[in-house]
Amino acid sequence: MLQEDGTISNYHYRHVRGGLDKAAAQAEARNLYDLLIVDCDVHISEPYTLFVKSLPESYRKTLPLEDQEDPLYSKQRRISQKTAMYESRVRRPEISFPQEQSADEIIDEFARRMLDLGMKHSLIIPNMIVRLPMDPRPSNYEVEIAKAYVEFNLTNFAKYPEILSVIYVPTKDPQRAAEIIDDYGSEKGISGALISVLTPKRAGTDDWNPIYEAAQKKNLPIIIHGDAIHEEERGWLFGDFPNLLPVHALSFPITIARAITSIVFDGVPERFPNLKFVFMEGGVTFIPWLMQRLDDDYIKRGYEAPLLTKLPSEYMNEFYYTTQPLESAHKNQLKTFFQMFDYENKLLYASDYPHWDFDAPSVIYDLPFLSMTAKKKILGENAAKLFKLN
Amino acid sequence: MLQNSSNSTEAKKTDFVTIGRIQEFSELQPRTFELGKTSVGVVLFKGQFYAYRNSCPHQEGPALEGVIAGKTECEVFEGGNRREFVSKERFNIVCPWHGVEYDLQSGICRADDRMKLRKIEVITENGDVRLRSI
Repeated sequence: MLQEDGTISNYHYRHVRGGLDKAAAQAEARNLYDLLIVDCDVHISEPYTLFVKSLPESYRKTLPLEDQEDPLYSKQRRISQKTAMYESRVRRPEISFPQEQSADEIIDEFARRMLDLGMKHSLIIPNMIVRLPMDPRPSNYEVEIAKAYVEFNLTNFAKYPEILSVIYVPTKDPQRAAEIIDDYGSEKGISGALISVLTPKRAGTDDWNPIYEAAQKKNLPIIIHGDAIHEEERGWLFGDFPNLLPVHALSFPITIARAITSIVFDGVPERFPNLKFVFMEGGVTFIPWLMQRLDDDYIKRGYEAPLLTKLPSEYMNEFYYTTQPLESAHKNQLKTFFQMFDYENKLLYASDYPHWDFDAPSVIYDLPFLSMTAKKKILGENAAKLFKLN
Repeated sequence: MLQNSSNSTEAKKTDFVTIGRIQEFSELQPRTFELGKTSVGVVLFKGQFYAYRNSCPHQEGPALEGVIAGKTECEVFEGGNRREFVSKERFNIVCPWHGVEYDLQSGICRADDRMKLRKIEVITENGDVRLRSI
C-alpha cells in the first residue's frame, strides 16, 4: 500500500488469473526494479459522476438526461460495451476497470501495479472527459468539470509523490482555461496541461494563446493525447467504419498528426519558445512519416507559414512523444524509424494501462538496438527531467 | 490406453507428469499448471487435449489464462457481398493482455504466422491427463 510519506510497503504478486504476474516476472528477470521507470500515460476510471454531482444544479440540467444519467456518462458506457476490450477477450481481472473507482481503490491499485512492474511514478491522463469538447453543453460546463477534475486529483493524489496528474484544459473557454492553469499549475503533482484532440478548433489557433501563455508561464508542458473517435464524432473521415479496429489504427496517430501540423505551421513554438509539448499514444512510426511529409510540403509552400525559422521536422524533434503503442510487428524495421528522430532524448515510456493495447516496460527494455543509456532515458530519465521529478 | 494429442508415440511414460483426471477438465475451459518454473495451459476440445506454454509470443502475456473464443470468419458471396460469423467449429486461444489470438489446434497466431504458441506434448492414460516434463 502506498503510504502518505511516499513510501510503498512490500507487496507480493497477486496471482490473479490473466493478470499482471507475468509483467512482474519480466520486471524481476530484467532487474527493472533498479531502474527509474516513469509511466507517462496511465488511465483510471475517473469518477465522472462525482464531478457532475459537485456542480451546481443549473449545469446538470442544461440538457435532458438519457436514462436518467448524464449524456457523457451514458455514452462512455455504450463505448465501453462496444469496444473490443470489454467483449471479454481482453481482461483486467486485477482491477475493477471500467467501473468507476473510488480514490482509495485507485491509489491501492496504483501502488500494487507500480510495485509489481517497477514503476516509480505514474502520470494519470483523463479518460472520458476528453470528449467534452464535442459535448453540446455550454462552455461553462466544460470549465466546471475541469475544475472538479483537478480538485479531485489534488485532494486525493497530491500527497503521493509517485502519482502525477494533469489539468484538463477546457478549450471552449480559453480565458477561463488559462485561469485554471494559473490557479492550479504550481500545485503538487500537477505535471502538465492536457488538451483533448477532439476539438473543432485546430491546436495552433490564436484563440488558444491565453492557454499557451499561461502554461509557458507556469513551465507546464502541454500534453496532447490521441484518441479513438467514437460514434457521431467520427464524421465523414471515420464514420463509415463498422468497428474499432480501423478507427483505432488510424485515429490515434492521425488526431495527433493534426495537432502537430497545426502547432508547427501556426508557429506556436516560435510564439511560445519556452513551451514544451508532449504527444501521447500515437505510437512511434508516425513521427518520421509526419516529419518527411511536413518538410516536403513546407519546402514548396513555406510562404503560407511565415513564422517558421526552420524545417517542421526540427520543431518536431523538440517535442516529446510517448512510446505506446509501440509498433513492433516488424521489429527489424523499427530501428530505422527510431533513428529518424531524436528518440533517445524525446521518447517517454508509457503503458496506457489498463487499455487493451497497453505496453509493459519490457517492451522498451527488450528492444535489441537500444543502448542501455537509451533504455534508461526512455523508460524514465527523460520524463524525470521533463516533469522535474526527484 | 495411451492416447496422443501430438505426434510423438515413442515417449516413455516416465517422461510425463500427471496433472489431473480427464473428468476434471471442461470443454474449452483452459487450465494452467506449473511444470517446474514453466506455466503450461491445457485445453480440452472435442475429447482431445491441447497443451501450450502459457506465454504469448507477442509480449509474454499469460495466453492460456484468457478465453477460448469462436473464430470470427467471413463468407464471401458471388458479387463480393459478405457475411461475418463466429465459427462453432474453429476456436482460438485469446491472450487476455492484448487479445492476440492463436488457433487452438495448431497454436499459430491468427494474424501473423511467425508467432506461435509453444506446444507441449499431452497424453491421456488410464483416465489421467499427463504432460511431458519440461
